[in-house]
Amino acid sequence: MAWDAEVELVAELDQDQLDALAHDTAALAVYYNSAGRMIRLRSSLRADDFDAALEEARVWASTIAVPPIRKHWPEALVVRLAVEQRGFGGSGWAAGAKEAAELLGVSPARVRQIEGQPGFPAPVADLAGGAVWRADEVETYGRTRVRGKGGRPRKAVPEA
Amino acid sequence: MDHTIGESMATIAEEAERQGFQVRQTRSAMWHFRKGNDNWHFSPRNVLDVLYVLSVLIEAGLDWKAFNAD
Repeated sequence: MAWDAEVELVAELDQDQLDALAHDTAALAVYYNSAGRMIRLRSSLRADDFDAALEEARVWASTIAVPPIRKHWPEALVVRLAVEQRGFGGSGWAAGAKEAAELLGVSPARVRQIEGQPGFPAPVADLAGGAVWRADEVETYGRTRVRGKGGRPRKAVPEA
Repeated sequence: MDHTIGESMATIAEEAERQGFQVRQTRSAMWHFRKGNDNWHFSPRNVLDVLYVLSVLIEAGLDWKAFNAD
């Protein structure tokens, strides 16, 4: 299962140190607010369950994320460590073709067939990798769409 | 960096810059976005990472409707 870990600290770093931090920790994202001296690092993890993810996050924070910050700012204060399952957190609102297919119980190819049909939600963005929709709108479409009977059209039988 | 991810990030970066974010690509797979006192360094490796980047920037004020504007 895919998880995200995020650690938040209070520390003061300059731009070069932030660039180096982002590179050295291989974090998915490094956020820094210069007014509040708040740093937030986010990284992807793989773990079978929540307990394993929590331990992975703890190890990541203490051995990879925090030490480089403390090298530049020894007084750096860790204020938060969070772990969340992918799909429920920051990008949980978004669905690409694969996620939309899972939500609708169809194949990604079928999603590409029906995406232009009336009633299908408009994409949030159309990126090089494909369209992105709001997951809740796709879910609503899946619950409320009228399904055709499907199958081969019946042959018309002339009246006697 | 995967070609698709690079293209997607370039699209996002271009629009973000148009909407007032300062953007620079610091390394081949790393992007720095800045708005006021807020700084983000992103290193997306797959499509879900790109979606995360987009969601963060939207929360920071990026108008996503502009991506679909004709």
